[in-house]
Amino acid sequence: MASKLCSEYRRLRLRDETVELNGRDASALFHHIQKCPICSTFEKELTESLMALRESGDTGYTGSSSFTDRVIYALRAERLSRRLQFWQPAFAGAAAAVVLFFLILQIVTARPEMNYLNPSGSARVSSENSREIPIFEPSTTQPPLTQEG
Amino acid sequence: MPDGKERMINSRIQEGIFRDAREDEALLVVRVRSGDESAYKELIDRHRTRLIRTASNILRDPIEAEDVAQEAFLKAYRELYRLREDRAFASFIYRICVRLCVDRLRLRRAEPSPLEPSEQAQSGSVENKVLIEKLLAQLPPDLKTTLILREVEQLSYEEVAVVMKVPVGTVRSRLHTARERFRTLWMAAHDIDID
Repeated sequence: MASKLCSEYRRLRLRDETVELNGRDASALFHHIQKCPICSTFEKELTESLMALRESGDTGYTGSSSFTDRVIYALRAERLSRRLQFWQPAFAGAAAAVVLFFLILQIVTARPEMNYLNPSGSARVSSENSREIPIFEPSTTQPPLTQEG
Repeated sequence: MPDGKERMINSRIQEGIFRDAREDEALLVVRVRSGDESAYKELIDRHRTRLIRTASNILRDPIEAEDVAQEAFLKAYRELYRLREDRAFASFIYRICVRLCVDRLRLRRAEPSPLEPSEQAQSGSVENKVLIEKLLAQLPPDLKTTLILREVEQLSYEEVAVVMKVPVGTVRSRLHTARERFRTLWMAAHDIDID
């Protein structure tokens, strides 16, 4: 049956607090471990398991030779995508503005009432109504002066 | 055997080299901040071995460890503005790497794989490693990481606390639980009666 000292030893050992004990307590604990079969077995098992864990640790693997280059490429790709993300609203805005401009242009040409040049509302200006605006006004030719009498 | 004076001189030289390395690293960080890619390349070359080794110890998968190390370098670059002291880049990147490892462990499905009789108590380092991997897989991510950082990476309690972002008391209690569980699993794998 484990005594109170056994459980106290386990607690201290598992929390690495045995090293913080003063000289008297440390030697008392040491004597207990020497005498107690439960604690000495526990110490042996714990040491063995942790030793195996430490030995399994160092795999010696340091990564592939292209590791640094891969990180740099990934970094460049990330920076590029971030730059694109930054300009994305501007590109979208410009595209929307172009679409809107053509849309307005389309509406204006299709609905003549919106056309200030022809506010009457008829889509086609009939040829009768149309008045030819001569570019050059015909010169008013005066009748030749006749010398009468 | 070096005497006391010689040892003191050696330690001063090492201290000087260490200080120089930190100053050098601070300069590299300054260069990275100003957009120098070659400086970051140098920082990667300096820290990659340690990061991959640590990630490999925690994740027990070298390929995944390399992925995590790469992710850590990218994240460190993105979050470089958070680094207050330029000399502290080593601990900064190490912290990022360990946290990414813990996140990966959390994402993994916890599936305690029962040990096959043939796998139990095998001798030899390769079999031992396989056994240890199986035992570690049965520990929760936080316990596993704390145990590895302390026992394999040999970090101090304070260092583990900083890396894991928990108080030192939590590190102690986690280690207490982790060591006890690991011992129990180890003994069970070796078919030894546990009191």
